[in-house]
Order: sequence, then C-alpha cells, then structure tokens
Amino acid sequence: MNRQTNDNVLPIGPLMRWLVLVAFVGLLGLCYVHMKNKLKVDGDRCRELEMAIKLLDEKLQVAGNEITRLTSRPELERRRQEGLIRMVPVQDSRLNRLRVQTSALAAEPVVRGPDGEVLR
Amino acid sequence: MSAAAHKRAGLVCILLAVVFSIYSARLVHLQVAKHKEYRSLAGATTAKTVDERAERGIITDRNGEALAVNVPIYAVAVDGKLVTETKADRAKLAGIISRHLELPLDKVAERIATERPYVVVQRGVDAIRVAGLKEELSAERIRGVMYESEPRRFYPNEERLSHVLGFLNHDGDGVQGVEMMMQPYLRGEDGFVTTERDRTGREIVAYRGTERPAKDGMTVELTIDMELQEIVEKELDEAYKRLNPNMLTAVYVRPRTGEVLAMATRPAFNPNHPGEAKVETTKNRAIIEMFEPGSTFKIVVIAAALEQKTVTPQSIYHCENGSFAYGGKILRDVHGYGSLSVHDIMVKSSNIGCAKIAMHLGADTFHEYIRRFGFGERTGLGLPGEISGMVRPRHSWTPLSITRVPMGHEIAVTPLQIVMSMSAIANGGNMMLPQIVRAVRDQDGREVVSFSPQVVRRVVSEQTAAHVAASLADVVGEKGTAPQAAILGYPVAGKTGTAQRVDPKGGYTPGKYVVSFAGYFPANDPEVAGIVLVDDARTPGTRNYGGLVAAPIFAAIGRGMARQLDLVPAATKSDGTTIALVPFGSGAN
Repeated sequence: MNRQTNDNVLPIGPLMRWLVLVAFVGLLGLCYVHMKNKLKVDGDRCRELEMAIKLLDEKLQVAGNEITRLTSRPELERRRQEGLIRMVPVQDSRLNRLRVQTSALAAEPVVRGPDGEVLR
Repeated sequence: MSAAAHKRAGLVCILLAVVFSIYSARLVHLQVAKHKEYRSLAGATTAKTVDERAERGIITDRNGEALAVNVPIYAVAVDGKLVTETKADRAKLAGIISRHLELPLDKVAERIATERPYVVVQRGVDAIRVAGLKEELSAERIRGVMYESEPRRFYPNEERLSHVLGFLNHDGDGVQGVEMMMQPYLRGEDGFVTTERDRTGREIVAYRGTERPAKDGMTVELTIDMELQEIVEKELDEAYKRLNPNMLTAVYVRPRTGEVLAMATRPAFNPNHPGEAKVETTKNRAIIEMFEPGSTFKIVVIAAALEQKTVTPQSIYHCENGSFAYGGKILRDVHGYGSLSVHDIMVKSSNIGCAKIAMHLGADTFHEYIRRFGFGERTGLGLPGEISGMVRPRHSWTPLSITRVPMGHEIAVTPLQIVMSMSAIANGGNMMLPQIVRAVRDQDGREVVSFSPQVVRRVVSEQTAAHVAASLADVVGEKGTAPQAAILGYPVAGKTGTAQRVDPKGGYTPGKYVVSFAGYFPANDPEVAGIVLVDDARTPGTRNYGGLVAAPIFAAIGRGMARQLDLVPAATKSDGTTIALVPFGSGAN
C-alpha cells in the first residue's frame, strides 16, 4: 500500500472554499478602501465646488456693487460735470400725454382705520 | 521532546500570555474606561464648528433702486506658528501677499515675522484679491494664512438720503435711521456647520455633522422715491450754498397714504464714512429737532374754530391796524390791517386776527385741537430718535398764551408734525400715519410684511378741511404771503412760517429766524405735501421770511416733482375751479 500517495493528496475543495472566502474578504476590504477614497475625493471636489460657487457669488456681488456704484447718482453727476455724459432736458412742448390724469406713485391704496377696517 | 524542553516551552507560553494580557488590559482601559476622555480630546483637535455669517438685507427705494448693499470684504491675517519655519518660505509668503494685496514687500515681511497666532496683515481686502491669494498659496502649499470675512455696508448714493438710511457700527448693527429701525429684518440669522479637519487643516467633507444654513437678511423697500429725493436734495444743495443757513430740511409725503416720498437735511454726511462725520451733521432734523413753527401753525386755530362753528370763513375780525394790546403786552402784525374775514386772516397771516379767533374759541378747545392735530406726540413714523415736540399742558398756559400759541409761539414742533397736519387738511381732514417702509421681502422677492396706509384719526370734517384748503390756496395767490411758492400750471396751497430762533439759554436769539413753507399740490387733487424749513438763513433781516426764503425752494422742488410725477397741468377758472390742461392731440378726451 502506498501511504505516501494518500498523504500528499491536496484537499482542493476546502482550499478553494478558503481561497474564495479570503478573496471575497480581500475584495470587500479593497471596495471599502476604494469607497473611503471616493468619499474623500468627492468631498474634496464638493468643497472645491462650494468654494468656486462662493467665489462666483462674491464676484457677482462685487460686479453688482460696481454697477450700482457706477450708475449711482453721485457718480453720474461727476461724469456729467466731467463732460463724459450730457443731459438734454425734454421740452414741455415735446410732451404728448396719453392720459388725462395719472397717479405716477401707485395704484389707489387700501386705507385702513385705527381698528384695521378698510376705509376705501 | 524532553521534559526540560516542555517546561521551557510552558514558561515562554505563560510569559507571552502575561504580556498579551497586560496589553489587552491596557487596550480595554484606553478603549472603554477612557473612551469619553480620548474621544473629546481627539474631537477638540479635529472637529470644528464653522460659523456661517448671514448677509445683511439690502435697502431699496419704492422703485427697487439699491440704497444700501453689502461688499464682501476680508481681513487677511497670519498665524505665525503655522507659517513654515524657514526664512526662505517666509520670504516667499511675504512676496505672494505683497503682490496680491499690493503692499510694500518689506512691510509685509516685517508683519509676518512673528510667532504670534493671529497677526492682521491687511483689512478691507476685496473678495477677488483674496481668491487669487488663496489659489496661489494653495498651489505653493503654504499654510498659516487666514481670511476673516468682515462685510462692509456700501451706500451708493453717498450723502443722499443719509439721515433716513443711517449707518452701521463696527459690529454690523444699525445705529441710526432705517438701518436701526429695521434691524430685526435686515440682520438675518447666522448659521453654523460642525465638521472635521485633517492634520493639514483641510476640511474632511465626509465627516460633516450638524448643519444650520445661514438665513440672509430681508430686503427692506422704502416708500422713498429716489427720483423725487434727488430733486429735493439738488434744490437743498443749491439753497444751502446760496443761503448758508445753520440747517435746512425738507420732507415730502403723499397726503392720501402718509407715505414719505422724500426727506433730506443739510448739512448731510456720507454714511460710507460715518466716523469722519461731525455728530451734528448726522442728525435727521426733520424728526429730532423742534422749532417754534410760526404762522404755519395758524391752520390749527382756524381749522378748530371752523370745525367748532365758532366762526365761518366769512366772519369778520378787526385786526387793530397791526397793534393789539393784550395782557400788558403788544401783539403786532407785520402789516397793519383793519377788518379781515377769517379767510383773509389766513391769507394775510394776521397774528392779531388768529389771536382773536383763539380767544373766541377758548383755550381749552384750542388745546384739544392742538393735540388732535398730533402736536406733542410722536407721529409714529418709526425712525429712531423721533421726538414729540413740546406742547405745554393747558394748566401751565399763561394769560398771554392764548394770543401767542395760535401764531406758533410757546410751542415746539418737528417739521414732520407740520407736514402731517398739512396733509390732514389736504386729505379732507383724515390724518394718516406717516410711513417710511413700504414692504419687507425675503430672498426670493416674496412680500413678507407690507405696510398699508392707516388713518390715525379724523382731525376735522371734510367741509372744514375744504374751507381751510381754500384759504391756503389763496396764500399762494397774489394777495397772499407766498406768491413765490406758486408753480406754473399747478395750483399750490400752503402757509408760510417765520419765527425767531429760540436761544437754548432762554428767550430768542436776536436777528436769527427759522422760516418755513408748508404746503401741497396740486391743490385741487393733492398728490404731494411737504415742508421746507430754513434755520438762520444768511439773508438780510428784511428778507428773512418764509414767503421769501422757503417758498421759492418749495416751488423749485414742486416744479421738478410735478414733472417727474407727470402731473397734468391745470388752470384756474374765474369761478375758482380748476381744469386740467391737456395738450391738443394727446389722445385724451
């Protein structure tokens, strides 16, 4: 009887089961690390985008303020005095009214009395 | 294996078991017993709560024109401990900062050569510069530079409307005007986010915890119309240069609603630099200064007497030819008159006539009407600092008071109070609550709060108001005291006022006058009521009257406003009624 032959038989089935299990656990680990990295990369990207949006918002605000400043009354007046812009008064004779009476301020308002009741 | 070998192996096993048991015990001690302590220690190092600053709401006029906005500004600071240690890196950092902030290199180098944890390099750096600086420092991997947001308020119209808008203190809170009045709406609500940082100080976004976003402040829309405000400011500027008075103020409201359309005072200040302004220039004189109103106050006594039916517009009083002895004192008129009707007493502004009407009316009733017209109490505009004026209690009136109060002496009022009483006459006897804020809107433009016009009380009947209005219209006629208040094409009604300036030490300051004109137009359908008040104009005493100093300013402002509001010119017919003048071919029938 050849006992040595029997002793050297590889238990392929169990070995494969273990190998698959170890590979699966290893893969899970790698996935976990990949996910963590992805989370970090996406977080960094998210932060960069937030910063970019904030910067864009600030640039928009700065530009808006600049427009407000350049079109403000004191600035227009300064430019008028420097001769960069000119104002031409509209003559009364050039006015052509399309309405008999206008209220340029607002529509007729709701007026309330001291107790909150609508008067007109 | 021999017995000795077995023994040795057993000893090694026991030794290993003991060592690992000690390690295990320590591990359990650290992980379980000391869990809380070390967790908080780690948290303190990596976890951080970042504040998110809410942006202050903006202020606009009724047409949406921006009056107060925010500028994103930063303070750039350096943490001396974090800045890389070597001299070469410090020099590099100084170079980058100097280039981006346009500062001298040696000065930057000097400032950052420190071990202190917080050294400000420059304040007031705009957001775009800061972004460039951040980008370059990040690329160069240089740490230790901090950027602290400190937004600045910007008022694009500079001095214009400065007294109404107010300004902010160093903490960003309103200290005057609408900025203070609407602070709860404008301020917004700061937010925060808890997060963790890695060892380089960079945020680990995945570990963000509790988050409460900042709620920006709301937009406050004023009733002010900047087009009308500009007209007022321009005319006041011109008058301030020409007359060089101590103070000049003007307020315009819409009588039907009580909305304040324009409010200006000279001298003014620039709210962008409140620290540079003198305290005196920052006061909104339209609401915090009280004056003896002079003859503009005569509308109260005449309206009261007409309402009580003590007199009719045709009742005749003898005006003593300009000199009336009463209570041991002489009361004088500027020009002597004989008999005048109540209507003409107003038109000619007779002090003696008004005194006699008041005596006829009775002091108690007169006092009651003074209060009914809103004198002696705040108008309710809401702007901080508004005063109530001064109306002495009836029991402390002297026997002379009944002759002096009707002509606007022995009483102190604010310009706004006079405008509101004039508006009550223009509005058929209904006194409106003055309003400076029209609406409050959220970030999406939705109206959160709106302020609708509100009647405070009916002061006099419609008929009485019409009688007074008819007299006021004639004040601006050729026979009145203020023909210079007339606006071509638009009937104007109003009243002049001239009073000696009260000396704070007591009595009056000789040769100094507070003159005013309060009125409204078009008289047939009032759209705008206002007052122009000039304190101590540098003009000869013989010309220092409301009708000569304030009325022309009122007219100049009125001309601009009528044009801006596109009011249709009207003409007065021989029977006193007015008709609208519509150009031929206008399409109106």
